[in-house]
Amino acid sequence: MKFIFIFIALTSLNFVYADKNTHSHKDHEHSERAERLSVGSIDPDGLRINVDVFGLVCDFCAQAIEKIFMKRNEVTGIEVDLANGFITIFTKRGEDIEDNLIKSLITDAGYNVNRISRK
Amino acid sequence: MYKLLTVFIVCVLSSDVFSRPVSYPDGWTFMSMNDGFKNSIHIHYSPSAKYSVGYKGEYWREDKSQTHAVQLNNLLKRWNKKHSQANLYLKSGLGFVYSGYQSFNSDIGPVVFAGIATDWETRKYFVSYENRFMKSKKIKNNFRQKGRVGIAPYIANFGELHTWLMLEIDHAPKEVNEFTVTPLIRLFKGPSLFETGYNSKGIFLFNFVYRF
Repeated sequence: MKFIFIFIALTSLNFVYADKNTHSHKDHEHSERAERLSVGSIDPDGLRINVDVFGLVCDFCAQAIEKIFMKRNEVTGIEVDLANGFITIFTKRGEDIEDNLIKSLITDAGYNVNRISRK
Repeated sequence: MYKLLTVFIVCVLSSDVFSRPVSYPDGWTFMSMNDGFKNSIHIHYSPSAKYSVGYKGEYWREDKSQTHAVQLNNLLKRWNKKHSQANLYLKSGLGFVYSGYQSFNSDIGPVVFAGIATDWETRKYFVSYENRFMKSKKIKNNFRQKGRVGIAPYIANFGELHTWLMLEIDHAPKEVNEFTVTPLIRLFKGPSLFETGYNSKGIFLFNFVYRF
């Protein structure tokens, strides 16, 4: 029985750690509440690219999208809206990402793009 | 002490879960499964969203045997819809099996296994099925299949705690009691997924997945 309790304890710690990480993002991003930002920051002079994505059904999917776009220099932040299957990519001022590249990155991650629009 | 240590390592570090066996490009996944039959650990790396490769270790409680293998998971097909996703995977492995129990007399030999896994999920419902055939000259020849249905009592947003209530049915034709039924709860937050249940044989189930 001992290992069961040890396992539960370790798993609980993991959830606490994940929760801590979430809070640290929240503390760091001043505009998160307004933008419901998942990760990163928003450049007010940058673009926001809205992408309608098929196949976004769980946090692992959202995590995949975040990881892939946050590796790019043009990107400052990502918002993932699981309820509506939308992602919003926030770019630096004067930077853009071509539609074909966005489609390619999302397809390579295992999802499909339905529509892309910009603000 | 050695047995306890083996079980501990496999349980704590360990799953073979009904979570996707392929991650996003350049992603790592750690899985642990501890059910009515065995404890297992699976660590894999996904060079692309089409396949992953990794180590799979299992400890079978009944015959006290261990398998250690390199496992390859291939995403054969994915169906992405606006509010759902379905997948078909091929999982295969090659390694060795060892047992020092009773008549096996510290036998060691090669083992191969292969199986199909499929799932369909929305943010509210989940259905999955998987099977596996394992073959080894001296020790292990078995076939297992299992299915699962699940429902989320509430819909959580990204980053929040997701909760699923699930029912798993495991079929092992060579067992005396072929069917094992396990009601379980899945908790899912950020990169961590945890499942626990209690099956019809009176054994607890613990699964854990961490994706990074």
